[in-house]
Amino acid sequence: MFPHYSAQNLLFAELLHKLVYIKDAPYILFPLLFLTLFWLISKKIFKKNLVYIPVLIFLVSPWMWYLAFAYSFYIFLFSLVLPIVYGVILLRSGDKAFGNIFVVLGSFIAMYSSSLFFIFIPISITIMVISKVVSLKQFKTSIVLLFILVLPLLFLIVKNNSAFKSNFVYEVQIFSDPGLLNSINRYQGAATEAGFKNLARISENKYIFYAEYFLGKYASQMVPETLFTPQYKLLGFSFNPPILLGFLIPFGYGLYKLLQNPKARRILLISTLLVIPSVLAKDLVSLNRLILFCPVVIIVISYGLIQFYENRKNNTARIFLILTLILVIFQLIVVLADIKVRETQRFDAYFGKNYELIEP
Amino acid sequence: MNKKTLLLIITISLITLLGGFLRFYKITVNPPSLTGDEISFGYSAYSVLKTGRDEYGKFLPLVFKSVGDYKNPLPAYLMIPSIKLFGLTDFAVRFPNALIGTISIPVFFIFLLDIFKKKKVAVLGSLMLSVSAWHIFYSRFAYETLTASLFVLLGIWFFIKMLDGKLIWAFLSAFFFTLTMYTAFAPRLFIPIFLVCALIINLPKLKKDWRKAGVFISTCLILGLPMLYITLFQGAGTRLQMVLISNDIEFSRYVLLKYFNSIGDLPLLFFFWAKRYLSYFDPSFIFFNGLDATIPSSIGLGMLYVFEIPFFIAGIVAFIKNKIPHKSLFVIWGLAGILPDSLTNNLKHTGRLLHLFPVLILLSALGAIELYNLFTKIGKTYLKMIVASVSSLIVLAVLIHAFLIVSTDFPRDKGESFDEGWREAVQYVKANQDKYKEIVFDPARGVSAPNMISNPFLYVLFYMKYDPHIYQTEEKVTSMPSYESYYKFGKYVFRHIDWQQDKSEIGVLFVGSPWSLPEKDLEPGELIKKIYLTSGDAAFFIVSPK
Repeated sequence: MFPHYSAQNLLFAELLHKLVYIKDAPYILFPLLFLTLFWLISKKIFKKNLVYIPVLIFLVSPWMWYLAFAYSFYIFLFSLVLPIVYGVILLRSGDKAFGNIFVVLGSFIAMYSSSLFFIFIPISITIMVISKVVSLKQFKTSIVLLFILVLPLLFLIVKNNSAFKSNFVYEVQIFSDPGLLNSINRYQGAATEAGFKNLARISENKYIFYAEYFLGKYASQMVPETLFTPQYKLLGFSFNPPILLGFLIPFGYGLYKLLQNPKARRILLISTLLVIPSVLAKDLVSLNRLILFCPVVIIVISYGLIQFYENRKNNTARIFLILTLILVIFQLIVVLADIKVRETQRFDAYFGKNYELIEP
Repeated sequence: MNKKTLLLIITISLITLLGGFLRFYKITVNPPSLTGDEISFGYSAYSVLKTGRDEYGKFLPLVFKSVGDYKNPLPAYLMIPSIKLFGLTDFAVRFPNALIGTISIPVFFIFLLDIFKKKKVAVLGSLMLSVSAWHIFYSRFAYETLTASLFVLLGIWFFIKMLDGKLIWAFLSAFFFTLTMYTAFAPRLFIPIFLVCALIINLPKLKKDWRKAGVFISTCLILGLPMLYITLFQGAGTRLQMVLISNDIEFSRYVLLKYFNSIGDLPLLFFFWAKRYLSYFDPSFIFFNGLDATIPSSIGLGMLYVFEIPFFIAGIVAFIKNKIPHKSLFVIWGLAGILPDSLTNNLKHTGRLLHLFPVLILLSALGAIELYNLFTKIGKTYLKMIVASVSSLIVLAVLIHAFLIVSTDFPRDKGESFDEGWREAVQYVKANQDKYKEIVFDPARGVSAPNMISNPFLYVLFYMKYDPHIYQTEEKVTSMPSYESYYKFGKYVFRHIDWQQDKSEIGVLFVGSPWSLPEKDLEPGELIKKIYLTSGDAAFFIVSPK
């Protein structure tokens, strides 16, 4: 539809001084892959007769479709994160063989594709083990296999450190904005002028500001405006939300219910690790990268929706269920009509009529 | 009185004193100048005090026309005793709001104690309010929504008391709710929505004693009727029409791709509004820079301090999992409280959300207590010491940053927004006006561009202590060919200055920004005085042709 992203070279190719872009992959097949994986994950979480709910929510969310049609690099990584998540669930349920296959395969390809994931995956595994989401015993085989498979990559990185660095800098741009440093200088200058130099050194230094900035970015990834409204525009121009607004109602209820359960609270907390790639982006929120967090949101929505459905004899639950369905159907119609009528004009308004894809 | 009660009274008195100090200290120099609204309220109050009429000659008005924006009446009336006491000064204008901001602290304490019956929540909540940058900021200048926030708090508190108590609470609740409507625009939409939801939810309780609902609704209607009348027939609704979200530039330019003009555009407007509504939950807005007290996009101040992020999150979790009295009312309060501002085409504004302070600070206090309870469970002493030291250092660093922003960055970055410079300009004119036959003020000003943002005639009226009798009755010239905007009373003229033409006007004093009085075009001796902003940029030149 709007293929305006310049592709990103895969990490191993960069290290070998080759050019391999994932944009040449059959992107149209990705949605089918996601839906299958999502169905598999849902089967492990929800009752059999309700498995279609998360799949359906995923299907009607503009997020995946927009990014898939624009050949986003993170759609490719998303197709690797889903098997990892599925693998972890399998490992937790005792299915060691398939669990290890999914975890190792997903992690291996992801680490070879992105320098960020080369670091992100080991950290995530460590945190999952420490927080006892998966025990070290359950993860042992995956870790050993992964270590062996990643050895050649390690060797390449050591040999070609500068290429790794350049790939890493390309992916981690959180502190690349000079605005933050400028504002620190400005604050310190004003304080010094007013005779508060030492106070400024304590409270207005780059360590504190960077920490606050990181914290703010982290929180911004998970708020309703980011996930359910076009506050951050899909592909930089769209007015359609990543996930339809109507789903906010079951999301809120699902979250409310899950937060009451200590075990669910812990898993939800750990799952926020998936927002880190977006936190490390240059923009405050990168919807391209945040798609990795999408399954968590959809599972919470599904949980809320299932709660409504199961308690449908209760008036309040029924009202919320009906309200959700009305809003979702209404917005779906609006979204489809809007894509047909205005999205091209909007694209032109943001990027100009003569915008051309710049091939790297 | 037992020892514990005495200790509690001493504690809350000290907290209130601290809050009062933070609200009153150097109140006339920070914010650096009275805003257009403050000046307008101040002179209207002075005019009513001296003549019983506003500057347009209207007797005890229920809406102040001001500069055509039809201001709410209560802020001006509340200033009257203060102006009587302290004279027509900057302090007199700011005194009522600072006092209300200070009074809010013990009121909030009693509210929390009464509803939650927990001293910890009440003391911590009032302490957080006392040092809240958000509340302090808006207490330090005449900002009507702050006054309204106290009335909202009292209205909701008495509403809760009405549900289980005597009939008098129904009257008091209705009284304060209605008073809110005469004080600020933001709560006008919030109050009806809150009340409809609250009455529906509490219908079973109200059914037991219909008299309460009767007294409540009839008091609201009787006291609210004049407001309804002035909204519909005396122009107070004008402001609402001007600021509706359908006129939003982003909406017409980038979403609808045309101006809003038909019912078919409503679906997109609805989703645009939803986006705006949810944007109020943006952490950057709540914790980092919502207060807009310094340069945009930097780490400044929000409605809550950055160190309150964990408190706030823990507070939400505690609110969800614990039994909270009247939980549903707090939820409605929080969610409906955002509605008025979200329906406007203005930028998000923490000032218009002040009626939410009890909800936000309550969540923060609940979270702090929750985290403290977790802290006490830490077994190892060294670990406890580390957590306590690190937390204290973070709190200290954030508070120092807040102090620096308010004391140094805010006056420097926002002087122009607060119309800094007019006071000094008018005071100079007042001292020297006898030497000139006419004094011309240019209403356009600004460092980066000349914007028509000021109402200089109000500054002249205020700082000259211009006799309201004379102003109401004397002849004024409101237009003049060849001038886009023109206003004249006495020897004061307010119009655009064109120096190429005006430099021949001998005996006239000109007050304008460097845009209308370029220094390079002035002859030696013509520039009499330069007035600067705190930032060091020139605000005004005072010039007389030679």
